[in-house]
Amino acid sequence: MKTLLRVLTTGAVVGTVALTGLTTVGAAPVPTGAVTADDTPPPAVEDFAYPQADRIFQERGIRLKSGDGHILLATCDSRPGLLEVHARGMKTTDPVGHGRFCFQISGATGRLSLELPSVYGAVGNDYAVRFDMRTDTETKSFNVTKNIWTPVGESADPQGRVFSLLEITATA
Amino acid sequence: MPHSRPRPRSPWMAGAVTAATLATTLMAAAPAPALGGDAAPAGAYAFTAKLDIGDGKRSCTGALIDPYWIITAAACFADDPTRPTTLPAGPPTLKTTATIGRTDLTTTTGQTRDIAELVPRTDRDLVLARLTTPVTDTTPVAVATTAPATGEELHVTGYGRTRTEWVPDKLHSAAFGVNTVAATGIGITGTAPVGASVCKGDTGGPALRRVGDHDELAAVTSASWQTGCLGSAETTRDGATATRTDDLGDWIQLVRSRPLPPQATGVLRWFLSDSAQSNVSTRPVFDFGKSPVIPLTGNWDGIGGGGDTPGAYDPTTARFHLTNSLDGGPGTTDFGFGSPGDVPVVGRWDGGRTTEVGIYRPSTAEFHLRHHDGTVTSFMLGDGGNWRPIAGDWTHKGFDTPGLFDPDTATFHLVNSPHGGEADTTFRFGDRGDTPVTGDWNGSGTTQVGVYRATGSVFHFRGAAPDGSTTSVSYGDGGFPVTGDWSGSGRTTQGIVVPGR
Repeated sequence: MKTLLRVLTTGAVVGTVALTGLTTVGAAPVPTGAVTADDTPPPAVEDFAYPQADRIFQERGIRLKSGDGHILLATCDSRPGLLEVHARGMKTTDPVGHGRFCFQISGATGRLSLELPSVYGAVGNDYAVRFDMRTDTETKSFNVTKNIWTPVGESADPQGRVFSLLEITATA
Repeated sequence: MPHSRPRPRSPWMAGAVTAATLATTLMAAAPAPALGGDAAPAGAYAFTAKLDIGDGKRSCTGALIDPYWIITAAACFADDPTRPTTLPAGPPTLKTTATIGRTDLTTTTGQTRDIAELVPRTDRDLVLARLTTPVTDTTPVAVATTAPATGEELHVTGYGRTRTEWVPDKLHSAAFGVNTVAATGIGITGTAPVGASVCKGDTGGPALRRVGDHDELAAVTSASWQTGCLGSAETTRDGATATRTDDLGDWIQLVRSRPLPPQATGVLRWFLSDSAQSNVSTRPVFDFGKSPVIPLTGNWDGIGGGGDTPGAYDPTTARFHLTNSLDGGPGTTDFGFGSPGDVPVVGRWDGGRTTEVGIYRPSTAEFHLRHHDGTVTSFMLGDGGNWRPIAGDWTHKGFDTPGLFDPDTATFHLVNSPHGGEADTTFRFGDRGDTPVTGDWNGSGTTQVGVYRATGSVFHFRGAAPDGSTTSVSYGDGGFPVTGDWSGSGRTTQGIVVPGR
């Protein structure tokens, strides 16, 4: 406040200084913070890309892409409230779970985009969960029934077509 | 955010990085106990803002420094976050929403506002983001003017990742030590909890210095090695950088004044504060009235819970102009009372909540007080001349009565009923040449006096401290002092009204 009033009365002077500064920088832009420098840390801006997605893909064969941060891949253990997703044919690509993946969901809503081929079933939790899935030619949504095994993808398709799971959305 | 990084030999970091253990670290663990109580106390640091940029494309933290302005990192908005100084000024490319005063995001407290405009620095990772409409129910954080010092402890707050959470629902905070101080930035390392880190989503958050019983903004977090954060592969390098703001006071104030058009000659600009301790204008600045009017404040419509609003008396035309809003809207009431040359005085002559008008005539030392029903009470008091009329409920009787301040002797003369003759109470307070002010500084129901001293632009509030002593605040840089209860809280605070030159 005190400064503000002083600045207001001397606004012309300050404005001139600011303009000069802009001109100088514009003429010789200084590239700051090159990310590759060993001694410069990266900005900590949340970009909603799934944390360490590449490593998880190598270890578990599941391509996690991005989300709102409320759906996280979790260890399949005895804790309550996990959403389970089952995919076929992953004995070698997923030595940890052989195609059984568990997700922990938090907050009022959750969203996760991913790519997981040959998903055929899920075990719901307390959330209203929807799977957006795709065959070679068609995109289709499946609702996962709360807290019980639900056939999705090829198990729920009259023609038995193979579906990839592309997006999980959850609502409390 | 600043969340606790496990010590290097914590079980999950140690030993061979097998697929299984690594996978475990990447997934949400069981609701992990915070390693050091890293969730901010409920409601603390309410000025911290969560920024949603591009409807889920990016997220950052910021801090409210003015009802209209958030300070944060330019990296949050730059196309290439590693080159924050390339951010252009203007509306953000991606729709950006700020949530302020909601430190638990599962609740609905606080406010959500869109960002209308970005004003970036070109020399450091910093931007001021203007809200479309002001936030008035969260006290902004003051920007410190003292540079951070090596070894100093700062508290960092943020909505970023923790060790186990990707997008936490609660604001987190941690203590950091200042390692290095450069021209535009500082280096910091987490100290409590040990190993606390600035994680993705924390950038732009405030690094705060504790001063007495409040926090001041010392720096704005910028980049971080993110050791220990969810999904971070960093294990060796430690610490974060933050952008200095202590040297930007003039720039910040210049930017803050931008939402308003240039002040027209003679037009009165009102700077009001809800804090009798703060030199920060906690309310949006607005224009009302034009010289040569004398500024007034009162609850003209008597709405319960409503606060005091501006008014003005034109001594050349003897007309009152009153408004019931605090946003500079046009006057809602306009009427003549008194004669040219009179000095206005307003108060609740009839009790209740409504402020009525009156005048003091310097030539005859007469008070003329207009009641709600239009009748007028008149009497002579004091010496007239340069004696300044005031009004208040001096004895907690339920209605206001007049008083006078003799600026030559710094003496107050108060009456407890509208009568002439001798004053009921006479005492000295302030200095020769001071301007009298009145208000209920501590919410007791009794009006106290105070003075405004142009030298240093200081208000002195008599009896405002719990022990009955005087409190003082330097506010503004000259102008008409005004006092009022802007929020309807029961306590009177200060303002300054400045005519455009």
